[in-house]
Amino acid sequence: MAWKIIGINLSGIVISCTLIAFLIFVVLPSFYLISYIFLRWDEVWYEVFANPITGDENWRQIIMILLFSFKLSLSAVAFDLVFGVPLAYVLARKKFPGKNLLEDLVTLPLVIPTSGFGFATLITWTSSSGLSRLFGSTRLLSMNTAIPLINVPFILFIVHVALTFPYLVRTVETKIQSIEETYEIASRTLGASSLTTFRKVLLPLSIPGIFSGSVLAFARSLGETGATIIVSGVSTTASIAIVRWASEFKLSTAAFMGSLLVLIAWIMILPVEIYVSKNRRSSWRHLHIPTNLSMKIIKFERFLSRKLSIVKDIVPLIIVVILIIIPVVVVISSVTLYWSADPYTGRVEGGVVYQLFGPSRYLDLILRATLTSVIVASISTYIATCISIPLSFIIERRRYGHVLRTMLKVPLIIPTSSLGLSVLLLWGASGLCLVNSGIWMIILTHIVFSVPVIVESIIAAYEGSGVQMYEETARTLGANAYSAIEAVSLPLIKGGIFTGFILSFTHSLGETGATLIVMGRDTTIPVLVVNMVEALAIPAALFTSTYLIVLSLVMLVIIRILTQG
Amino acid sequence: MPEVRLVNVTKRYGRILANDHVNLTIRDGEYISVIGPSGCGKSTLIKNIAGIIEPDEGEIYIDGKIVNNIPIEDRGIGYVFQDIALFPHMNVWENITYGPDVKGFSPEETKTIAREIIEMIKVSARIDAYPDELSGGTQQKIAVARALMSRSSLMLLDEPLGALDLKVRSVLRYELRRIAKALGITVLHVTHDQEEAMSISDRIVVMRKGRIVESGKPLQLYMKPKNLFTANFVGEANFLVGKIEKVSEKGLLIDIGNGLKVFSTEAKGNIGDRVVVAFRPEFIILKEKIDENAFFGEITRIVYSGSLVRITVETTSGDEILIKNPLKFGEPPPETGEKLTFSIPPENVLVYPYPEAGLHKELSLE
Ligand SMILES: Nc1ncnc2c1ncn2[C@@H]1O[C@H](COP(=O)(O)OP(=O)(O)OP(=O)(O)O)[C@@H](O)[C@H]1O
Ligand SMILES: [Mg+2]
Repeated sequence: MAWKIIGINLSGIVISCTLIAFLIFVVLPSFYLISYIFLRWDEVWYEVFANPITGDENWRQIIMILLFSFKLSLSAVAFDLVFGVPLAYVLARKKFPGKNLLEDLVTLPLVIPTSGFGFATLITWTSSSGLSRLFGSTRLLSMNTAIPLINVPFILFIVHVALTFPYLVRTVETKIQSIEETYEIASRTLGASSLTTFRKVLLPLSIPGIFSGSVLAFARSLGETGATIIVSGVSTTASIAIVRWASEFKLSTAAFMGSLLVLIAWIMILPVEIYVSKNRRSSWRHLHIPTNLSMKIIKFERFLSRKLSIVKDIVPLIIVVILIIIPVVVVISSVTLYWSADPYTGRVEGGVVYQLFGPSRYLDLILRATLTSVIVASISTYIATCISIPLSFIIERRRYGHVLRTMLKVPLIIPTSSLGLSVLLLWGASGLCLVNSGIWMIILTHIVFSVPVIVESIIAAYEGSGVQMYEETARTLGANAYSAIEAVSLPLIKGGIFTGFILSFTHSLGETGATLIVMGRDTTIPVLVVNMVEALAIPAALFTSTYLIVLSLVMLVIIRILTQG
Repeated sequence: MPEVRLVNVTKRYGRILANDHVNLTIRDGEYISVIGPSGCGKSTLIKNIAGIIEPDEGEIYIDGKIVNNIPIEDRGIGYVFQDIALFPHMNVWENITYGPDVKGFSPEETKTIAREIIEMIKVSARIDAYPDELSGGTQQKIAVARALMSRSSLMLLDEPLGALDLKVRSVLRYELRRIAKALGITVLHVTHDQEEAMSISDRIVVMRKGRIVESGKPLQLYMKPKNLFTANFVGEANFLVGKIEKVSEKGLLIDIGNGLKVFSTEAKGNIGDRVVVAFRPEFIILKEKIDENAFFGEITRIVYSGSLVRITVETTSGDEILIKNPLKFGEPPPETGEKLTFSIPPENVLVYPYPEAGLHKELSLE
């Protein structure tokens, strides 16, 4: 009896503490930016719409930048869809040698610090040590060479595709794996070719996965800062604009842009979320195709199914090679090329060694940034884990759990620069004035997006392991709720906690957008790459990017070992 | 017309031989059941025919043409899955017209066939209902209708009634046969339920460990199974081990130990052969007095199952024998501990050579 009472009280305390921490560390920063606009509307109005000198120049810029950002993100997602869905299908349904490797390669941009990856892509396409070496010309493209029709710079586009690709592919792959293959076989036995089966059966059934994958990819592209800042050239995306304005102390304009971004993202995402959560049946059924046209399509698909089975498998592979493997290889080979001196001018000052050990002492900076990064990632991930474990149990056990889970989607979708700005405005000098820009504020920011990442992977492990049942068994055997969690559930979901921990750790290591805004005088490694590129210290940037890529490859290996073990 | 022929069809999963040199011919219009214990390779067999999997060895012919390299969709078969597999995002109408749609039937033709089939399978569901709104039985009927709609004359059914409760199963199985015969199609029906197979098939194929053990008409498999496994798997049987003591033109006299003898009208065997004697519990006759092939024993257990009483008797030789007797109105059933006399009609006593692997191994279901 006594134990039971203690158990209940204890769980009450744990729940309240968790919820309070959740509110302060995650919910408040996620929503503060929008409320800031309302609280300081006068300032916003003055700065954005009615500046005495520039008038509504800022507002016109905001519109232009937003349009460009949406064009970029939408076209990247469209490309992801066209090539990512077939790749997801191949990964989910086919067995072939090298499948694990391909999966890892697709996932690589998820763990690679994006500024390093952005720099690798930049070098690959525009510098003389990149792809142009193969073709003999000095440079293949200029940074601002645009893709016709959509008028988006080519480099910017492929960087966004590479960085968003894994979100789409992995989400759709998971969804397809959850659909029984029997439906496809049934369709085949009824006379449909494999392409027709794909269109009429698999595609409609995986729509929820395709939607949520696109949403994630879209949000990621909208919020991407680290790589974008390096490859953007003369173009400006919304998240870069926020970083720039924040550094110019145009806080109201930045905040206004940030909240617009959040609002518009939500307006686009909400219908999808509702659609997916309602799990509605096929809605394009009413989209009637005339019989003879549909017959032609089916005939064509039948023809294609025969001819194209190889092409369908090869094309996504080629994309992965172009977008991911080549940049990584180019960066690593460029480091060796530039190791002792600039290979073209022969000047020692242009070599990696000189820049690292010479008067600019980049090595010191790298080491100090590494230390900062590791401290930030460790502390923020640790605190986030402490919040996430009890939070996951609350989400799974309490009726209001799904509300919490929906709230957790917010930090996943907010562009990180908006999030950084929100944290800065909330805790910093112009808000509660509790924390100064610098390492502690970086940690506070990283906690916000780490919690959802860890919670999601704990929940995945929880729901996959049937913990509920084991726990109930333990409780029928007399264990009270609290000790049941300790003795039964925690060991079972250990894997989920580990995976979440590593994911959030790598996420934190690679984050640029929010960090740029809240870092003050402290620097993390991805930010250091950005600084180096801006200072035109190319060999140093090459070295640091390689260092980051190697680091994330190690992380990837750890993740694979953990998720398999 | 669809005649299916399998020649040495073999399929391996690692070290498991799921199909081991299977040879089988299915004649046009035949209703064949494939039975066998779980994991014996029944599903593998029809998946091979459908093209869902590729055999490692052997050829499959449909209508005399080899189909090994022909994709599923071009084999012209109907397939009903154990787990039903109606498309969850399509309603009843869309499900059943899926085949005609992708095969390019004209809308009028599709409607005509659909009406005919719906009437034939007597389905009462709304055509705009979704699969998850229907009962298991109705879903199963729709799945059959969907397979029939493509007008293919060869149907492969993989435990089509497996997911249903007993009552619905026993109604639906006759429907299946009726429809197949009305449309004149060839059916290969996989089931693990021997009673189901017995009641609807023209011919039954018994499988075990990837091989076909025996095939024949239901009554033949029941009355005169060619081997011990079938005798045990199709229906129930008592098995006793003994030695042939006398061979005459009327039959065999077998010594089953402790001075007890059984007479069988079977003719094959030599004096001194070690044999297994099998007889069905429902053919045993309860007697007042001892006569030919009669035994005496004490009732050790009585179980009532529906219209039958299952009586277990321990004979003077210590063997346990199961007797199935119909429950008769007004007649008091026997009780445990009572002594009982019974006889086995000699024409119902089957004699098999003693299996090399031992009786237990031979009868085992794995
Ligand atoms: N995809 C597969 N991978 C590995 N082994 C398999 C696979 N499919 C079947 N097997 C094995 O092949 C053997 C035959 O399987 P099959 O499904 O044909 O049996 P079955 O007679 O249909 O059994 P059940 O009555 O349980 O459906 C089994 O031992 C099974 O474990
Ligand atoms: Mg089976």
